[in-house]
Amino acid sequence: MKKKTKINEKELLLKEEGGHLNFANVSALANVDVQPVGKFKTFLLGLLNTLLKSLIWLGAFLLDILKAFANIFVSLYKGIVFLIKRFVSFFKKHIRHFYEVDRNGKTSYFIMGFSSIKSGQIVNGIFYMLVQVGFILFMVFFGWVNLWKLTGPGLIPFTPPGVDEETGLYTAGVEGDSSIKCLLYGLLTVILIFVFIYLYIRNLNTASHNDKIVHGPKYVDAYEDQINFIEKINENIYLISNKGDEKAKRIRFLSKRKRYKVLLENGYETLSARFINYLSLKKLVNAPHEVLDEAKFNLNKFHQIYDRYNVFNDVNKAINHLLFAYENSELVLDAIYARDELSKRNNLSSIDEKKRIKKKEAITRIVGALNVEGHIAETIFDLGLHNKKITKEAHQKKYDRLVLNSKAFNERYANKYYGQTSTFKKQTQALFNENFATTVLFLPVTFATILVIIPLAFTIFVAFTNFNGANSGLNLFKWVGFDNFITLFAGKGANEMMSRTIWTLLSWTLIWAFFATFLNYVLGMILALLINRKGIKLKKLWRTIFVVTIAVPQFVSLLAMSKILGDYGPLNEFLMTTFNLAKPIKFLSDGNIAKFTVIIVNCWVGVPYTMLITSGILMNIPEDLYESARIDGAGPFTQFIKITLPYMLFVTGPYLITQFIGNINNFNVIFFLTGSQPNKLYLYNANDTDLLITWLYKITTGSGNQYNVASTLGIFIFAISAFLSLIMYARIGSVQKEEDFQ
Amino acid sequence: MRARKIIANLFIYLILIVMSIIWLLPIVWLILQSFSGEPGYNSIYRLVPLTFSFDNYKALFSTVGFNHLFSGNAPTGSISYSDYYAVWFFNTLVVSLVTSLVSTILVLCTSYAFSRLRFKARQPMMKFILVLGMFPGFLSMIILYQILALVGLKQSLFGLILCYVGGAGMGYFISKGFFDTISRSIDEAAMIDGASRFQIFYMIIMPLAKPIIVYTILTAFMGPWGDYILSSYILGDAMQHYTVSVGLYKMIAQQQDMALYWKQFAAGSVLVAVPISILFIIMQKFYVSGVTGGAVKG
Repeated sequence: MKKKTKINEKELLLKEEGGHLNFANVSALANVDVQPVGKFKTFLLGLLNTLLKSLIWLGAFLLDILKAFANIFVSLYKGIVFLIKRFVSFFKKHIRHFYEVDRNGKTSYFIMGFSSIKSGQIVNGIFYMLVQVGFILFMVFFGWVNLWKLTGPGLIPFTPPGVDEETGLYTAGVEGDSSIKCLLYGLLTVILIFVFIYLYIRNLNTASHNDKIVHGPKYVDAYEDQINFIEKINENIYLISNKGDEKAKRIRFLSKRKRYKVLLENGYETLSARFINYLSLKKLVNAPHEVLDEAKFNLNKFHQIYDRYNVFNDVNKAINHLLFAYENSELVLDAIYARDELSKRNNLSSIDEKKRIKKKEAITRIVGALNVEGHIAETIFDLGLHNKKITKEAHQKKYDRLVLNSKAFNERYANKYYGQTSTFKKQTQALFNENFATTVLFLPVTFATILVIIPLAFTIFVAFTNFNGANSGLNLFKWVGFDNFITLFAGKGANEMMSRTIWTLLSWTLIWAFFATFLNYVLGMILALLINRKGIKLKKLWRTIFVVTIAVPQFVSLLAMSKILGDYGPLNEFLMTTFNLAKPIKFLSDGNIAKFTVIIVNCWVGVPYTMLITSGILMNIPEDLYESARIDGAGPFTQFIKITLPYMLFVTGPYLITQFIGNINNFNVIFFLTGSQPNKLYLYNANDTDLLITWLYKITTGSGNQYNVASTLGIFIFAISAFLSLIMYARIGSVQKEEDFQ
Repeated sequence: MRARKIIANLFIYLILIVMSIIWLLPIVWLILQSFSGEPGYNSIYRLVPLTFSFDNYKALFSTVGFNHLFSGNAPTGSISYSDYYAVWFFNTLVVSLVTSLVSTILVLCTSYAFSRLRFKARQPMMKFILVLGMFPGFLSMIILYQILALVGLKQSLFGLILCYVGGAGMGYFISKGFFDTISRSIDEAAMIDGASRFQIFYMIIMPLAKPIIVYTILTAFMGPWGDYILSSYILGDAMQHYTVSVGLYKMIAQQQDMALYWKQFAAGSVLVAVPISILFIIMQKFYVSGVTGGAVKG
């Protein structure tokens, strides 16, 4: 049914000018009968929609967890297979090297550093020899003892001095092993063995490298052949282009040239392919950087043209494009002109150092400014396509130069790099240039290895021992395999309390992390929205007030809070006097109430952080989104759900994940608030509000000092964090690719 | 409409005022407690104490503890915690200064390497550091204690500094983000002019990175002031070596100490909190200018 209403156009215009185009006008204009759906219905539908979406999201998330579980085993299997393959290919490579390498190299397999010395790298060679001798001596005198004691760890028990019962003689006592020391020394010995293996492999690589350098030319032939082939084709092209009158010449030029062009292009392609092969064969990665840049520059020229024009898959079109660009693109013309001028002035064919650098600068300026056009110009220039009045000599000179560049490169390369092996001085210089990464990362990596990685590896090993307070110091501890894990997760009998504790605490940790993150985020966002609203003055003041609460160090504010909320603290006093309560409310001592208190106090600590972050993001949402929503009649709540929330979730997705995983390990809040409360009887050394991580601390510093259980627990916590991180990142990563929020 | 808006705004102002009061109340209470002159911890029940005095602050500035610090022996006999507050403050200051300097150098090296340089081990190292960060930090504190004891640094401040500095390079993420915003064309231009990568590092990149350097220094400086777990375990019972956080915690850890030391604890906390808060606010400015600045816009 169509309602035709007669609209006075003037009225409509007036309405437009006065206010916004509203629904009635538009529908009248469109002559369509539109009945607005009831508000309540839309709300219900929206709700149902959101509900379904969240259910689907949840289902997908659970599926992800299952997939992740399965993936662990699959990736373990793949990892092992990969490692085995790498190992095998590694051995094969070095056995093959043994046959390929010359006599110096073969000796290097047994006397480290031999080929280095023979090739002139004296310092390197002496270094390798010293390493070999030192390692052998070390292993003979200390190494095997350390490794043997590692099986204990520590094998000689301590016996105090006293009288021997059997013989009645006085013995001075045996100073036993300290298990920790033995474990540490054993670990260090193992690491030393790996370092030695690395240096040995490096020695072998140097040997084969030196061999290629000294006997370099035997690898170069393929390159020479290709250059000869290209020279021949160019000759033919030149010969064709110089017969007959202008127009005919041009046509013949183009048609014949096409055929030869194909050959030429194929030739260049093969040349560049072999070039790359040549470079990788020579491990050009370690070449001095100016040589490398020259090589890359030459390569780039070829590749730019092919990459850009090969998309047509038609060489004719490529040539036509080249010529078209030349004739119609001012940039290309300019570039060619500039290049021409430059070549006249700077004598580009010289390989003199300073002039080469100047040439590089000029070319970079041109090419960098013009990108593909520059490269087109370069190629046209080098091929001599631009010069129709070219003489044979000039043409020959051009191709000579191109070939000379390639040959000169080869020679330069050989003279600079392959004629001589890299000496110690050059290697030290390279440390500040190509290998700067090694120099700059040396300090951080050393610190991290000694102070983070070795202790961590140690801790993981401790998890397989029975190292606790009783078994430390002069007493030995021993390897117990997986006993700790079994006790912790599935303890029976006397150890049942431990396994019960861990599962209880695990569930509480996850609940706590979820609520802590969720509440902080929502409250922070609401606060940021309130402060950000138009019409609220003194925005900076409000924000500074909240920032001050996080500026105070956490242990100060949390200790203060723990005293305020204590059983006989000020808050309880206040409540008891105002509300006439008989007993104080046990905010922190009663297990169940403490859980709520802890979450609320965490809000107090964490909301300013989320408020700051969400404030920054809120200010970036473009205003016109809100404007158009308001025009369409959306109230503030709808605006929030449809615009603000999706945007915020999209931008702060990773932040939320990090917060969740961080909250699993949030030690400070729980420890300072409830750490001093007595432990429950039904939990092993733990409280109702303990997280896994505070429980770890209690086990470590509590009675018995059970370091082994603590280490096992630490590994478990790490496994959970890693697992959840991987799932969350995979999930949010896939959402980030969609641009739904737009 | 305007009336509705005004009422809505007033309502929001009300909410903001209430929330500000709730948030600031504990801190204001603590500050007032530090000025209270009442004996014992009677003043703990009131928001505003009945009498005011500066005695609590005066008690903290005693130099008795310094004898023990320089002689290296632990105090024996009956100990008054307030005697040692100055020593703790001094310790924490020294530890923070050294940690911040060394940490910054390490972080800068790491973030520059990962941001600008390309080397074979780059991706594996980044993933490895990510995985290492998922281990709870103080899992290795037991072993660190044992290793330090073996080396002879048992319960010493130098050992503590080593512990803080060890994992510093792993916190390179923010600095790396900053270095990523500096355009690579500066690097390439310098390389054409013949600079080696080392020269690019200290001549070009470092001067450009001032905001993030200051941010890193401040963050590293603020670390040891609030860290309780690691310091308490490594320092054990060597009271002359305590940092401020360990000392303050021990002051009120046991109920019988509360009567003597509550007000001094409050005073000590205020002395710690004020400089840290100021530094924190300064640091925020540098962080914002560092993140939104950079050498190239857009």
